[in-house]
Amino acid sequence: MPVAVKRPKIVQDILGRVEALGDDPYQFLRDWKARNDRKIIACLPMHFPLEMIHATGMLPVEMWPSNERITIAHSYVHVFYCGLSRSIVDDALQGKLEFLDGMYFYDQCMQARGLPFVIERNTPIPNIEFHHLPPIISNPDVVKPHLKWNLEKIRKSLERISGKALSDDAISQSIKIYNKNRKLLQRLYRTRKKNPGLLRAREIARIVQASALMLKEEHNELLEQLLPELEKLPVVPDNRVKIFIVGHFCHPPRFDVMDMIEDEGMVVVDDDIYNGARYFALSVNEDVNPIDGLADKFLDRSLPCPTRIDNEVNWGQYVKDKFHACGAQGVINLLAKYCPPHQERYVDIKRELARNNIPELLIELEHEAVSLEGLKTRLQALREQIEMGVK
Amino acid sequence: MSDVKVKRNELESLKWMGKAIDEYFAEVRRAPEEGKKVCWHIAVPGTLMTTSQGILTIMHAHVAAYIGARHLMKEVFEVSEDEGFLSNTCCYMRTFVGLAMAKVNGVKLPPQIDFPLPDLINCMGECQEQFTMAELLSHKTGAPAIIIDPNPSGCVTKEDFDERVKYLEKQLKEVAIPMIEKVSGHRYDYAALSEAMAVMKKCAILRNKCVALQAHRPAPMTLFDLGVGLAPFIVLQGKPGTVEFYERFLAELEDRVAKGIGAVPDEKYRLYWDNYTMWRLLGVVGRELINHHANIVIGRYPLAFYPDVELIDPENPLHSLAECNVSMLKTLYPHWASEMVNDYVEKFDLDGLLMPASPTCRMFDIGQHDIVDACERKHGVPGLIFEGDMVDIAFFNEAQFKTRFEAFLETIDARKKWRRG
Ligand code: SF4
Ligand code: SF4
Repeated sequence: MPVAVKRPKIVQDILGRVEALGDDPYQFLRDWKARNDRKIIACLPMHFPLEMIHATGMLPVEMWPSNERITIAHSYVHVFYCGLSRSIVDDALQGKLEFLDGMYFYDQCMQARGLPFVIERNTPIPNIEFHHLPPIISNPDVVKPHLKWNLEKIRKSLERISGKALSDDAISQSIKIYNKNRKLLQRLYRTRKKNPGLLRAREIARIVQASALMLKEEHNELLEQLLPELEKLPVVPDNRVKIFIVGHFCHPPRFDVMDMIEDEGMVVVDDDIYNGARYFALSVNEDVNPIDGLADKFLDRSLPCPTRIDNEVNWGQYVKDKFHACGAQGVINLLAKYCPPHQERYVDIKRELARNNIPELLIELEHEAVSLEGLKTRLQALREQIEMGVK
Repeated sequence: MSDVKVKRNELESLKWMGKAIDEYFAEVRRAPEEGKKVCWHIAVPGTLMTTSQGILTIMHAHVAAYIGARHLMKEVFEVSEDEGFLSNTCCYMRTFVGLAMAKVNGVKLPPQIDFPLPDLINCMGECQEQFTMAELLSHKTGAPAIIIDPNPSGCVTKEDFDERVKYLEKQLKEVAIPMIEKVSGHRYDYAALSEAMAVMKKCAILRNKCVALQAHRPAPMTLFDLGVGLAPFIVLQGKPGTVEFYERFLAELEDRVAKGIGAVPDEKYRLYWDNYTMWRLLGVVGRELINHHANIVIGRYPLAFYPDVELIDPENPLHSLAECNVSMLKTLYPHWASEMVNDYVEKFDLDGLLMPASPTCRMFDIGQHDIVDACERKHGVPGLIFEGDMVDIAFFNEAQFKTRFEAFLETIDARKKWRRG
């Protein structure tokens, strides 16, 4: 279903660019590297302090799943690992990541923990490193000194790879550029909230995904061109069923599934996915020492993450509050199959939504094919349930 | 289902352990009426923190193994399924949280697995699922939770190791102890911790001597015998009788070595077992092993319990606990595990590696393919990777295992011939 608003060429062009980038990040990054003669470091998504990499002049990118079938990786990792981890191994083994100058992993989840061993042993990619970013944040005062110790260790590693000193000033400059990006993305979301028919859910997610793959200055520029154009467009009344999407905490979503949600007469009005609102929800405090600022963002408990343990988080309540705040009529949980951190939190999310009669659908997504026919029927059922007010 | 054609030689000394555990669990069940506190502990390290303080402690993997070995999971899994857990969620989480929820919801459980709800949850988890399990248990039972991070992830240099030990010690002091004091209602008794640690150290020294005897041909015990003997490192830490148990255990093994008696009659294949002991599969897998005169001589998991006896220092208990734990958890990481397995192949004269992988647990199976590959290249010793689970039988295909296991033994035979020239 096309969007209801007629969009100018410049908007269409930008959307075309981010779609192509997300579709083939390999070519985009190879070209970028050739043009700029700068190193590229890939990190596991979500919590790595990318600002520090950026401050060295290298390009930090967050790892992504390929859109091809996984083949060779299955001789190295089990089939019951999430699509993202299997895909990273597959890409690395197939030589598709040969342009990388390093890969940073951290204790994001159990699957992520072993990946550096497999990749280091079987590929020529240099600088495969594992850094400890504490998985428990319930006691920030106890955690913070240790976290800062690890951030300093990352600084040393970056100095070695980049061959130059990494000063606090340089990190502060990068923090400013990253915070600007967060503000621009927040503005994008506000615009979408006022006018949900303006962009498809896929397009929004592609814009965010591009931020994870581009140099932040270039992405800021892109947003600065895009936003005024979008903000000029007329608000079109939208009577579709309003949906709030949750999940995909680190794994980018399946874009075909996002299309299908909207093709079934629903509109995504807000989300809590990593390639979405979670990506820019927290900024780094610019008024303190940059290492403190980065540590404080990591330890900020206002945006719970299933891979960071905080005993005070009530996941059911968190999702319910977000759902009510965005005015949606139903929730879709997008669960990357074999993602233990999410599936364990789903227990509480499901219970709380059911207790409050909030219509909810769980979609387990595999890297491999999902039965789109079956999914279509389930989406129709959700929409009808909401339309008929069936609780 | 194949019959057992060959009979394993049982160890007399191990019988004490079954009785000791039953008695201990009975004491745990009596705790509420006797006014004692109960802790539900998650993870390998750290039970000593509460057991030494008179807090009756049960441990997740131990309880799950107990339930699995007695085929009592069905009732518990039904509860966890009702709670909304997906079937490929960590089986220990489904078991432990399922047990708690059964109690909270008033579901009647078989008496052997009916434990009082916790007054305290303690987790020094080596895996994310353990942290989450503690969080869920705390939310569902209302008991406070200690959740601390002992992982050596990212440790490469001595400087890293020292920082990790410092961090763990700080967490023990600033997070664990204040909470234990609050729940127990009295000041933390460091002398009691030291005493329990001293007893555990004696057990660990004896246990390591037992393990060393496995280098003999035939090996006097199976790895699973060693697994049965783990309780002095989990919930019976520091308890009377544990040192004497290990003395009897060692004496029996030495006697076997002197007389040339193996755990498996006519031992033909000496194998390594990766991963947890899959208690629920032991019937089927054990039958296959014994019928082919194969013994699991050594493995990764049972040796994750305080192997570095020189680090156990009762005079300096918190620092020592931190050091022991950071050190012992290293084997959970594939690069260290790979080195360890290669060492074992030489030290224990192994013929092959059995590498079970559970779709519900990511702890040991990361890097298994590479560990096997490294071993094949270095020693020409093959490995068999197969799916199973500690308690959920749904993930195990018996017929497929038997076929693949037989083919695996044929590969070992061929390699042996080749090595002999
Ligand atoms: S999708 Fe889940 S399991 Fe996969 S890497 Fe991310 S957090 Fe880990
Ligand atoms: S995932 Fe594995 S290691 Fe982690 S709690 Fe579950 S059974 Fe234990």
